[in-house]
Amino acid sequence: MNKLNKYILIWSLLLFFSCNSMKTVNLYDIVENKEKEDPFLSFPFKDIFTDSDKTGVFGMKIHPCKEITFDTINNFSGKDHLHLKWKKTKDCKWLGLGFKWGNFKSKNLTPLFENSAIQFMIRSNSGEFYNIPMLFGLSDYSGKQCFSKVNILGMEDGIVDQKWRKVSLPLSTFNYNKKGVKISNIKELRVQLLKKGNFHIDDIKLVPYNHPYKISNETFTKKFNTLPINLGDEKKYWWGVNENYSGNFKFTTKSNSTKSNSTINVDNLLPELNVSLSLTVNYDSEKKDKKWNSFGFPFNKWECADLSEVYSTSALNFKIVGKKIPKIKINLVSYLGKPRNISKLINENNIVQLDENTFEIFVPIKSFKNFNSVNWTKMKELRFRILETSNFEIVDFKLIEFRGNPDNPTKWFK
Amino acid sequence: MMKFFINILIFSQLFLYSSVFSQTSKVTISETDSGFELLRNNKPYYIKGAGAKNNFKKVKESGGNSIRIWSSNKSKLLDSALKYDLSVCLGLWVGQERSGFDYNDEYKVKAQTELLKKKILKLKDHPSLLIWGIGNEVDLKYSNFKVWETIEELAKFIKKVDPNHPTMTVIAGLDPSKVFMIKKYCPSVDILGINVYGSIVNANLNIRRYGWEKPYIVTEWGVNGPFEAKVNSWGAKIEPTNGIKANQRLKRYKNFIEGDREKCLGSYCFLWGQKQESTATWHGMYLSNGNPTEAVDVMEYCWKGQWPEKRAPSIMKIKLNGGNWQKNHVFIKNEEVNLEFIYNKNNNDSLYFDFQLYPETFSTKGGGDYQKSPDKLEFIKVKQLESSLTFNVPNKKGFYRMFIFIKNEINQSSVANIPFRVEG
Repeated sequence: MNKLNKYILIWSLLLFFSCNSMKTVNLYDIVENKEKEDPFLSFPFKDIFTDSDKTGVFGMKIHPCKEITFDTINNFSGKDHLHLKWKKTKDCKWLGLGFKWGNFKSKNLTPLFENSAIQFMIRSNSGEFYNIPMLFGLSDYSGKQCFSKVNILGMEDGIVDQKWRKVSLPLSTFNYNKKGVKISNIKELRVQLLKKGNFHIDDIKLVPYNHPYKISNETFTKKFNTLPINLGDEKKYWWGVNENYSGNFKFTTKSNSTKSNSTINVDNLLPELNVSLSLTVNYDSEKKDKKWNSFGFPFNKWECADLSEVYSTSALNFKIVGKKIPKIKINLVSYLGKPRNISKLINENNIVQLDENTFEIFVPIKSFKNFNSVNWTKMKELRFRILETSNFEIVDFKLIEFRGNPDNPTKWFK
Repeated sequence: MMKFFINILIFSQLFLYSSVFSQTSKVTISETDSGFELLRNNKPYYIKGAGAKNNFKKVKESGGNSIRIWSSNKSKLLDSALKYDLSVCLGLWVGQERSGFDYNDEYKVKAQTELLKKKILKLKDHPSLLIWGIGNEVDLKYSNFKVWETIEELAKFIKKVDPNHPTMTVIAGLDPSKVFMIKKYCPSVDILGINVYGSIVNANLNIRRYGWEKPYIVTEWGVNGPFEAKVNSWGAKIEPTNGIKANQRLKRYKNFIEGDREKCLGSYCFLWGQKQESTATWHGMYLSNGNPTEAVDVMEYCWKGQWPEKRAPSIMKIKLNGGNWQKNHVFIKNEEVNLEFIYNKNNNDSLYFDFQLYPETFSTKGGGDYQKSPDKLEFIKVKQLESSLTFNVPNKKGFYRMFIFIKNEINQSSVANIPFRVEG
């Protein structure tokens, strides 16, 4: 029994000590958990302007278009504040002032950039203002400057009036990247005075700030990398066809699966339905509605089409069913650039006759005059203009691959 | 006692005046079988308007009934318009991509909207307000279509807070993509405003073939703009004479504005004032010294159906050494040249002539953006006759433009200019 007790005791002690030593063990060594340093707290230059004897201000010389003084009446805090009065005229193109901010010592704003703001108090002598005609500039040691303006979202109650109001200018609104400013080496804060104003300013400082607004990079552009590209599939994007005013152009739809001539009246076509949109043209250049001779559709649902990768090796392709091919002018239009519009008249070198009444048209992009000058990253639409009396059907618009002679395209396709 | 009654009478007149004019107008659009019609306080209101910031009295005297201003920054203009019983198409200035406004920047976009909403609330009950013009030519050289979200947000806000005034957005010329975008993104926009110069000749057709189904207003129209003008061999834009421009204005109003009563609610001629756009006289219906040109007479004829009793003279042709205003005129330094001008005196007995020489500006700015006016140059007049001037061109190589101004005794004026080059 004694022996048993001994065992129990030893076992219990073993258990006790082993339990005591059962700790969670990490796979990796942990560096001692130091409290994360707040970059704002350790930033030594939070005050930009408090009082005239504490902060240096430059640009205070007497000037016919501006008057900058230290007023001592009705300060927000301390013993004085800045009073700015100015009026820009033809004779004074640049008006402004600057703050020595930490006596011009180099300031690294990088860790503060996303969550801090320059904040100050402002009031006017009279009137209500929804914007402050001042441009704030952060200047680095190479002399480069980036700018920002206070907007209504940064203004307390969205207004400046006779009461001291708090105004915030988020650092992230300064366009430092665009202007090549070294945000890690900022020298001073400058203020450009615009138009005219009469404002009191006090207590300019850097504060923690939550700026929830983002800058997106939406371009409304679809990039096309491969050919063929189907065009004009959806009726809702076409223009120029309106039977209320003219019967020159009428839509019909064709089933691609049967390749028959049977027509179906579907108003809202989708490309997935495997039908193609066909336009019946019945145009008389002598009739009253002769000006209804153009139609068109976009490359990309009226947003931008980036065809820069494919345009130089492509041709516009479509079919015409009729007795003969009329004179047709085609325009390709871009949203931006100069020229925004290039055009081409179809000629016999663009036409291949498939049967008695069916023709296939090939128009290489390189055969358009000035095709290289167009901004192919922002393409908008195709326009077709019928230039003579004619009766035909036009269908199956595509951009297809083409690597032949632009002046004699049919040879390559044959 | 008599004095007391007179005072009472004056007071009651003033009260009546202020109560009539302090009421907000109710403006609606009605659609009938014959088309759209604008109603102001339930009465048909066809807009006979001018894009103007001043000379409102003359708009009224000439038979106009409305002015268009581009921004709400100068809201005092609404009071000035009210004084002359003119309604106002009030612009809300929406940032333009071509001027650097980034519609991908949420902070700037939201701030802009909030600011404009404050202005809407402030001005919505002004008695002269006719229509809100949300944005002007935001579509010019743009590719960020988010701008239409801003236009819609403002239009929707107006619908909510101001049921009395229709909403309009103004575009730079008609285009199928713009019509598509506005139809898709801006269902709260009631009227399409179109600024059309040379393209006014196809506006009626394009509005229909691009599929705009609501009414429209021609918010800026006049002569072909500098952006549509021919240039000479050194790139100087060729400006037609005032006489040619006046005839063009008259024809355009009669054919293309009055000619579409089905969808067009009226128009605002451009510009009832003066501005530098390639030259100091291109679009302005007034000169920089404040004198009205014959374009003002034309508008009186368009709006009232009759010419003013006293009309401005009208310069029809201008020539240098026998060559017309469209030719390339090249001279050597200090050369003596002869300027000829052919004009109609109209019903004027005496006319006054002025000649001014300016350097060529070669501005490439578009969309009516600010352009700096050049300074006037001195030159030597040799001989002046009734329809010619002999003068010495400058003694310095360069590109120049000679202007002739003719006015009558009440300062109604006509102007023409001709560019020339001086070589070494």
